[in-house]
Amino acid sequence: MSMDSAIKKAVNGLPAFPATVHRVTALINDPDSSMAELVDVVRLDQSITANILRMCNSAYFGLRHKVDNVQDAILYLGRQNIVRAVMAAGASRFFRNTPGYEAEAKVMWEHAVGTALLAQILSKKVTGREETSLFTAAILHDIGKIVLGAFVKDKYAEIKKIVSGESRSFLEAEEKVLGMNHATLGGLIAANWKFPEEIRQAIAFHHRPDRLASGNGLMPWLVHLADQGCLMLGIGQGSDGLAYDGLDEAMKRLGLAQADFEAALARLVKELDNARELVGIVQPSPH
Amino acid sequence: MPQILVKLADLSVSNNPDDLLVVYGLGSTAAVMLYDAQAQTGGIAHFMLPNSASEPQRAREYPAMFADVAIPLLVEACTKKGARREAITARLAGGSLLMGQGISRSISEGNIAAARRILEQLSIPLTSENTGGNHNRAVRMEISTGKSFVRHPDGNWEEMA
Repeated sequence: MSMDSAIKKAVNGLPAFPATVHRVTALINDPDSSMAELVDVVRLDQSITANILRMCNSAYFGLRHKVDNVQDAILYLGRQNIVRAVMAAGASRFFRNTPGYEAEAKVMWEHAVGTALLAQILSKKVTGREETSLFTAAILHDIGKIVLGAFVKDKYAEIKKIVSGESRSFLEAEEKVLGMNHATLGGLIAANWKFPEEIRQAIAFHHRPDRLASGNGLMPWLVHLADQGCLMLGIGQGSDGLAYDGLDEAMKRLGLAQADFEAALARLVKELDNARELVGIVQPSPH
Repeated sequence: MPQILVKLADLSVSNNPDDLLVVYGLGSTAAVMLYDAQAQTGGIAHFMLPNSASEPQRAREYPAMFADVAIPLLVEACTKKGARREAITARLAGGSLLMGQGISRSISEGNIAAARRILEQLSIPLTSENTGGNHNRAVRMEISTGKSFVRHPDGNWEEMA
């Protein structure tokens, strides 16, 4: 089997994205939906229910009441936070130890959450808004690594040689050796999982938002910059490390000054402290 | 040996010879390691930005976030634990660069430059540095000996001079 078809086969072997998450998103966007419907849908998925209860008392969501059941969680979280909580709860099950990138599940997840929080902090500065679709794209931006990791592991020496010998980014080396990079692959996974185009593109182009046509909005650029911010702070480091080709034009495209970016990084540390329960839903795996 | 993890934007000091101070996840951030050999006392600050001037409120909440606040605070914490101010020496690690990004360069190089400048202002000799490059680092310091090690991308630990 060729490398390309082996990778695609591995993608098709991934379980479906939890239907509960898509149904919750649809219900939230439907003005006629009721709270009772939402509660019923969430309760259908035991793992999502358990995760929501574990993380909804996190300071990040800012609830004033201690919550111990799904109904109260949904009542108090508010629409935007329900989507974030359900998305995080649903996505977290796919995070596992990822050979090749030498990253443990917990580290991958911390990077995903950190990137989602930072993307939202940056978005608020740039547009005044925090969009849940951005949260989704950011939390799933490296999902391709979950599948590509095994292939990276097999060709690790070759990839590393290109990174250190030719001073190329890890992403370029993936593409050169495997014929596929984790970002593009993440886009394919998101398509299999029936995410909308905006989210698929933000994932697929999170390293190279400049390769998208200009009409694609700011989301890929926000994920690009948030991803780098987390790597700079060592939030979720793997074997690819800082061999990441950051685009200088990102700051310009987003209209950010250096001081804005530094303030966002400082704020991220605070938000991650507040989001400990959210980070904690993926536990360290046994070795 | 009890490991004490020094988190991002935090500092830790010890005079317990059994302790090992460890920092994981040094990217563009940096770690200053201080030690007094006779007092067997030392500490590490893991800061992420060079200057607190534009973020005074954050600096009150997370003093070790910024080099200009973290390093003097670390010196003070070490002397409180028994280190003699004039006997303290320093090591410095971190400040990796993301490829091709100006913003990363200014933060990484800013962190290293700020640490050097502040240590010089405080008349603390900087005996060893392991900075720059495109890779992450981890560092650790043994309180009993002051020996400090930096982890390379291949996973091996190298003792710093």
